[in-house]
Amino acid sequence: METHFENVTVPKDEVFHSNDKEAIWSRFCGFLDLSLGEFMDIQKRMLAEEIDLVADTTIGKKLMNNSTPHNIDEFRKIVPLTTYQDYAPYIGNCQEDAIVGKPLYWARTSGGGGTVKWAPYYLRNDEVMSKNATAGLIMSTTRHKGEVNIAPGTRALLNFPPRPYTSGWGVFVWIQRNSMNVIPPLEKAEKMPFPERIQLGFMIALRHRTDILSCISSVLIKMGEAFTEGTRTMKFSRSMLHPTVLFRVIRGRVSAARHRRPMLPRDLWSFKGVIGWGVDTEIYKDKIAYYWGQKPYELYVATEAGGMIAINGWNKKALTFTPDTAFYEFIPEDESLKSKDDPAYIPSTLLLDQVEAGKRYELVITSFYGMPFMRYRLGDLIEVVALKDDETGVNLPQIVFHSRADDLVSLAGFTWLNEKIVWQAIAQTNLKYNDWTLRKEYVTKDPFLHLYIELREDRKEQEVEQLIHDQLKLIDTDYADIESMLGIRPLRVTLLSAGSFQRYMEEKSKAGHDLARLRVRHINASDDSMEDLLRLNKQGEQA
Amino acid sequence: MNYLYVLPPLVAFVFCSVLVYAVLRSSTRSRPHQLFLAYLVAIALWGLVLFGMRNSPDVEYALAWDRAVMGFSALIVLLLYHFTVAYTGVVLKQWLLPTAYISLALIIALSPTSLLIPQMQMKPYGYAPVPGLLFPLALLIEYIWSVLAIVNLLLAYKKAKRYILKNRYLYILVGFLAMALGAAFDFLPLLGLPVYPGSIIGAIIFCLLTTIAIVRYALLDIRIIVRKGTAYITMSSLTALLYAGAVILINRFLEERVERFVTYFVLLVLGIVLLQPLWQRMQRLVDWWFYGNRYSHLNTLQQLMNKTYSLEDLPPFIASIKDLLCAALQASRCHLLLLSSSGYSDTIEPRGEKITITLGSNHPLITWFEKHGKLLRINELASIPQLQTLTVKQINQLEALEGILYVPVKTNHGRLVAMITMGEKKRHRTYTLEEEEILTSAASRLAVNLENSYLYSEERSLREQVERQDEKKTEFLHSVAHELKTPLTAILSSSELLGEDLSTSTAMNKRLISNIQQSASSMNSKVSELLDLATMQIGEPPIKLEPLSIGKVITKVEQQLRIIFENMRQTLILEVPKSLPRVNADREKLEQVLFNLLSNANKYSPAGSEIALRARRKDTKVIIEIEDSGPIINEAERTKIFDPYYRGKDADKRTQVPGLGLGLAISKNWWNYTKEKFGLKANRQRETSLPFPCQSRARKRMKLSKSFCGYSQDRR
Repeated sequence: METHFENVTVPKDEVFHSNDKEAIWSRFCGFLDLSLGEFMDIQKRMLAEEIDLVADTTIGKKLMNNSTPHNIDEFRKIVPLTTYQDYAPYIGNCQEDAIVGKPLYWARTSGGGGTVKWAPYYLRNDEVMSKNATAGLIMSTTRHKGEVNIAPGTRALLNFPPRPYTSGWGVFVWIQRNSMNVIPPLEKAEKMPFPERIQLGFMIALRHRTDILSCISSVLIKMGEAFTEGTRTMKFSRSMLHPTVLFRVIRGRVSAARHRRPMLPRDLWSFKGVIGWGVDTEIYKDKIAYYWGQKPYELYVATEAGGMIAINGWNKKALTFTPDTAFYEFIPEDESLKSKDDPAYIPSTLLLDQVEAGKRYELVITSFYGMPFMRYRLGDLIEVVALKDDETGVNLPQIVFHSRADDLVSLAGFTWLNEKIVWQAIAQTNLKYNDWTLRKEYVTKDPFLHLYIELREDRKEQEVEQLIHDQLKLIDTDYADIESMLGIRPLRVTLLSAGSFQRYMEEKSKAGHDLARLRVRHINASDDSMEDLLRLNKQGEQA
Repeated sequence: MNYLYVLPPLVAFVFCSVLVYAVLRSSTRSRPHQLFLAYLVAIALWGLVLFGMRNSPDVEYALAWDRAVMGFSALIVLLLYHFTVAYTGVVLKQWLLPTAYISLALIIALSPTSLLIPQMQMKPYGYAPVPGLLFPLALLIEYIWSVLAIVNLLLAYKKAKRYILKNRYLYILVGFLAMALGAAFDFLPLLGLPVYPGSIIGAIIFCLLTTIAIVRYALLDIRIIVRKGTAYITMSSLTALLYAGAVILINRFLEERVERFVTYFVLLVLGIVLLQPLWQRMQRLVDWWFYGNRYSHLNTLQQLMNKTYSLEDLPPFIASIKDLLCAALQASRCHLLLLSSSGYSDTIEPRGEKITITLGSNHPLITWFEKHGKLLRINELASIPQLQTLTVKQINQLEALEGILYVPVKTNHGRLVAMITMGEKKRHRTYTLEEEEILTSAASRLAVNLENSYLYSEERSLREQVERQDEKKTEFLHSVAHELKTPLTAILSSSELLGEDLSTSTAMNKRLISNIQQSASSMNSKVSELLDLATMQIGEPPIKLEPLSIGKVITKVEQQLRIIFENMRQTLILEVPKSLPRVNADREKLEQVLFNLLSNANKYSPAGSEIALRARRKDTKVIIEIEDSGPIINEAERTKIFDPYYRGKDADKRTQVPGLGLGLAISKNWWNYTKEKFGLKANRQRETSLPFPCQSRARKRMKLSKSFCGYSQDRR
């Protein structure tokens, strides 16, 4: 079956359907064998094509100042660094007159930054996104180079936002190109609320073979915790009478008894691969491995870039950039911060062959294949952890996602805290919690960090505050210096009543807000959001 | 004991154990490998059990063993089917595999009962089972799953895009064929025919071929193996027949043992020597069977490639190559993109309209070939990261070529001189590995041809360039000299007239006029030299030969140069016998040569020294020698001193010596037109000799164009 868009047919991936493992590995994961020089050659070639493609468009003319750059240096001189505000007047409402032509589809971001961003995807963007997603899928199930453990018909339990979110589109077209089976079936899943979809997915997975699990990392942890607690008091029910379910449960019980611990999800399912989504994946790697049997595989996706920017190698350690998604430039961290303080400041950029190990950079991308984003600041800070990976033999820079550049909380000029650090600190306290949000607030003129957290256990505010404060000091030495040098304790904790975050979601859902706005942002949530959350918290307390 | 009956199962056990080891040693641990490993183990155990049965002391023992054999047979079929499902990825119906497990597990479960084999019987070759009630059904089930396994392989073969994969499937399919033939031999004894059960041999062949197919990375084309195998088997059979016939005849006519032995030996040696050409002929014959008409095209291609072509011959050669490759490989089209200044190009005619396709040297495919140089199949473009990212323009160029195979034509030095693209094969077949080999081989031969042509072309182009530059330079020299000479003549004549008119002028004025005349005269002579040189470089100057008295010519030159010798207080000694015969020479040129050589001797000899000019007759020639006391000319300089503008290795230090360094070059050039020798004598360091024929009665018949004057210059 081929997927038909208006006037466009999305073909099946011939190589993936060929059963030629060598060719499949080379097609999808072969880019890991590129030298840095070869990688840059591809980047330059694709950038030249992108310049040609967009040169005659309204956006292209505006950004390139009605000229056509002939090389990278000219390109970087002529085209300014951009943000979505530069494109919003032209594509903010999915207009098509300022871009290359009618896109295959319009994808939108999750809107985590508060703004919904639309991006046009062309056939080749979609093909490359699908290809790199398949690469991720292959390597998530692989222990050795060249090993291919998935094929058409592979069954994947996925929990993604539906179309028109990028991931929704990605999954939709990807399953068509590669003849994959998605659990729960996409046509059903897209119409269901998120929690029900997760529940249905695992129900199906109990009865049928499931090869891959792909889910938001925090959800995997919560499910693992809930499952472990639930199995302690588990009773047999009618739904367990299904032979496969019964077999799984018995096998799981035996396995748990053998290891003298409560039954874990990994005792029920043995997935070939587990893919984790979200910035917290790195923090929860070990916990996910404990619950689900293996470390999660990471993919780094950006809607405006055209899909998978970087993916894990098969050792599931650092991320490697994909050469054909977008053209990459890097703003050194100090330059990035300087430009945040002074918007008039124009930071310099480096190319991938100029980055240094151990340094952090803000990522700038130029999309390919006709997508309009040029020298676009994604707002992500990445850290180059090494210039190659000896374990896998990859000779390309290895990175990890550090934080959203926008989600940094500055503290007395001493340190910048980000979502990942806070998340890590909370996780290391071993507190049982539902959700949290952190804001920089002021008492008179003195700033402090205010953490609102909803626990699933009975603890005192002071105790929680002390625990998190101690962990933050351990993780971030600059944070520790604030107390030791200035004598300031910058953290305050407010415990929210049980169900506050859930009620917030329900209220927003009823009000018709889209998926991206259902949750309170973890860092620097807006005043309106906090007002609503605290109101719902109060209602909970009264109840 | 009947060894032919008993031992094969033991051989199968040993053989399969070795194959198990080979599969275990391979680096891959995929599911198909694991299944095939299990299959090999099962076959090995089956061999052992079968050996037990065949080696049983009585039918009771044999029955127990044979029931185990039946169980193992079902297990083998099950593993085989599962292996083909896993290896090919072909899933006809999801329920087939569980059904296979259930049905064959049933057979395994029933194998110890009398429903399958109630008892054993004795046959001429050994024990055979008596079929029980469910035996035919069990056999049918096993055959059905075996056939389905073959169907899986056939479907996978049909679906595979790359011949490498097809070739692997073919290996296994040929193994299946061997196994089917062997199984057929199992039935023949049951029908009462006096043959041994052959399934064990078929199984061994299957295991061997399948192990090779899944373990070896680079597989030989199965077609080559079949073709060579056919030739060898046919030839071996023929030889065996001939030899057996000869042996029978020898046995019949020769009674002595020793004589027979010697005759056998001689026959063997003769056979080896005489059958060699026959062997090759047989191979060619089999090739002909396999290739049909293509064989002659391949031969022609080979002959065509063995020749060397100049660049002019290249277009028809290229056209022939394309046609022959198309015909030999049964391809719909073939393009040859030749290296040109703008990249690699060829002209195509998609709809009767000629279009030139040029892949620039930065085209990723060209860059890939420059680095890797291996043949590429079109479906591999999607699997190579550097080629996945072709731009739309680059993709369009390749699509216009409609190529299925891309073959780099690279020289031994790694230079990419062309690229061949082969279109789809007729009847939508796939290029075999052997055909790819043929293409690669043709490409490397073509590379040699093209490189030679390119080198020749480059050399010729460079030569023409140099010649053009030289012509331009000479023309320039000629025109400059000409342009300078015209005003100089005017200056000279005017200064002479002025000198005559100023007879009453002061001594100072006279000296100034004299200076002007001398300088102009010197400049005039230098410009004349330049003009002479340019004239000579443009072409051969006209030579006017006439009988001359050498003495008169020498005297005239001596008078012209007397003043400069006097200025240097040098003594010019003339030794010119009056008896010298007349010589055939161009007066003007001879005078100029003598003038140049004597003025050269004057310039380079120290003040007050002696310079000798000797003329003498030697045989039919007159030799003129000039001897001076200038600096010694060493061996390295002997050839250089006749080069234009060369003034010796210490020219920089000798700034006081006037001249452009053209005298000797012009003299030598003039002389070269006489075809006579001119140069320094070998036994002296500063000497030149010019032998040339004189006009004498004895030599009157000599052609005039060959005669001239000779002279020698000798400096001490």
